[in-house]
Amino acid sequence: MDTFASLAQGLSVATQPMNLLFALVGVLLGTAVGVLPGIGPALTVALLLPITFKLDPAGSIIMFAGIYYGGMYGGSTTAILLNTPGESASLATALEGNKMAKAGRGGPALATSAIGSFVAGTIATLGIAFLAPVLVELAIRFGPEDYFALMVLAFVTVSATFGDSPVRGLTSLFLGLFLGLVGIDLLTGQARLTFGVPELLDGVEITTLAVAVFAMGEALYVASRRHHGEEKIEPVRGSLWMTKEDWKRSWKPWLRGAAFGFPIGALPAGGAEIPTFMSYSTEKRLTKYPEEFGRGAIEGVAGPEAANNASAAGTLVPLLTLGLPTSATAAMMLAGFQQYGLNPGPLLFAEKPDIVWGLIASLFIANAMLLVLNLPLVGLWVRLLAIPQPWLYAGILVFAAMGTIAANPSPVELIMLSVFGVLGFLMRRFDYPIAPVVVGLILGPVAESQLRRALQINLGDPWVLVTSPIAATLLAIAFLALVAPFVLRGLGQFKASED
Amino acid sequence: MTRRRLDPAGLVAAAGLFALAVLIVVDMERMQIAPFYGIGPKAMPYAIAIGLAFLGLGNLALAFTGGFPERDSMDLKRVALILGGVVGMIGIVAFGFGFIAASMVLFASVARAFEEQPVPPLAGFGLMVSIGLLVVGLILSLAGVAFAGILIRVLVLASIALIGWTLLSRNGARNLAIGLALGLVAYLLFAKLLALTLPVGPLEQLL
Repeated sequence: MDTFASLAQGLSVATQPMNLLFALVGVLLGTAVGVLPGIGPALTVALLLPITFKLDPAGSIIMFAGIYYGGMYGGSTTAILLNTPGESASLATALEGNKMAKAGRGGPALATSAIGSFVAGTIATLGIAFLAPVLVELAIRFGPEDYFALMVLAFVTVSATFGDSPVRGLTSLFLGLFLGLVGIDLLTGQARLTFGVPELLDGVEITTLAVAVFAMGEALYVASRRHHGEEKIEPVRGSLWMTKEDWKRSWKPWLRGAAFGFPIGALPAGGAEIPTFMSYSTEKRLTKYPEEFGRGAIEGVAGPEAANNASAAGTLVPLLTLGLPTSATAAMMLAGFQQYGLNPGPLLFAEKPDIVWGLIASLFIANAMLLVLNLPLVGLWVRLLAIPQPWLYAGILVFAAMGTIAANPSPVELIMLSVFGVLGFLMRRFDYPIAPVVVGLILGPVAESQLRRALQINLGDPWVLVTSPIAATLLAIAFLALVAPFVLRGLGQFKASED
Repeated sequence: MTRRRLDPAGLVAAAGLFALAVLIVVDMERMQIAPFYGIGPKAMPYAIAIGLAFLGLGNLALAFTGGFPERDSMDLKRVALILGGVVGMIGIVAFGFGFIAASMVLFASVARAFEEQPVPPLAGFGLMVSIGLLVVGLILSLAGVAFAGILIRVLVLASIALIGWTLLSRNGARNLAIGLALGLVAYLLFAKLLALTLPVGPLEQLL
């Protein structure tokens, strides 16, 4: 299919007034939750799932994508002004950005991250538009055994790349897979791991788990460390505008950041932190002002922030073309598709082109909206940080509880919320990554049904996993990705050297 | 870095993973299924059980080699206060007092947990005991022991009373009022406007 014709068609969907409104609500919400500590885009989408159930699918998914993009913009504001990166992807931004803010150059730091996010986001969205149809052509040839292999690969990369320890990442993943088993087996109608509790027959609600580990786990963790004191907000001082010099020093890092972010985000490798740190160290090496690094170099904000946004956009490629989420937010967006009975993949491109291309086109619009919203209004967003911490977390938990009850109105659901909340707290406390448990719950049942379908088609012959060249290749890569961290311990050292 | 002391956290994690693996096996052994092509509903659970058992070993190794990060001190009283608020909410919803009252209690106790003023040790201790007993009560009721229902009711009321007492400190009344307003707005917006199903109590019936 011709990309330009599809994009034009998508643009006509995305510019419908209702969809523009959804995109606007999405980017506003996304920026707000990105700025606020304690809530991120993944949690916000999780909370919105039960609320949007009855709304128009295209509009809701456009809104979810707006939240994803907006969260990336908002997160950089917190990283720069508060030195508390909302997610690991903003860690690199905080390194130089907060130093700039302390030196009275908070304005240009925010500007270069917003403009850089826009540039990289636009490039990456173009990347989606051109790469997705190619991948779809490829994905049409995938059989169930290939999908299963692809999911195994995603399991390995998501759990071994997030966090530093493969054992802890895999532990988190398998907890998610375990929770995914609960409920009625769709192929045989057998109840598994329900222990006679009728509320468990439908399985563990994705919203409940996500809200519990993201919102409640975080609240418990922050409360348990409340006596360690609070971070200080740096006021935005000086001009918001970048000088000619700032522009000159920013544009190359933006482009390089996009070049790092998009491909790595698009690979089923998960985690925006790798490209951001790669961008950071590249800029540090290439800069003409090495003495400024560590004291507030604008390149160190421009590059990672561009990489961050480009990689967020990149994760939409495997999500849309293969139904494969490689980040927590992408996993929640997949749950968003699933609640409307839509399964991202080649079929979706063929059956619902208006939704897919409407979504891709709306990403351009969301990006432009975010640039307009963020640059002049940054003072307004910063004021969100003035909400007293007790009210902020209390409010988050009230909405978390509401989302949970709305998904399934039963006290049992609230009991599950508290159990998983404690789990999320312990995982944070003992440094287990959170995203794999959510990915495991969402993708585990899909992987199981693909495997069983593959074996049924081939009359129970397990060799199909090796005789299909695609599946064999993917499984081999998955095996390498699993073994490599144990052999090399490379990535951990790479990250440690940046601290 | 090269701390070689045995870390109890790793032991607990390993024990938990082994327990989950055993749980799967026990549940699968109970299941009776008809013959089928390919693999049935038991294969994946067994595979995951094996994975969990291996990871139990992995966590055990981490526990012995100091693979867990150093941890700061933590204030469990604040954690207990939040959990107490959630337990209070569950109790309020279960007894049919509705979403708004539940939001009020949850909001006020979480807000209190995040305030600078330390949580009184007695309140924290009482909450922890009542949450612990509540967990025991839940396990008993799941196991089908009689009186568990009554036990849970008593404990829920006790923890609500404890939370109430904690909340009477400095900003308690104000936080309760904010929680009430937030619950009211959320109920009107989501239950009335967006037609979500939220628990209804006497207060909601008036609206």
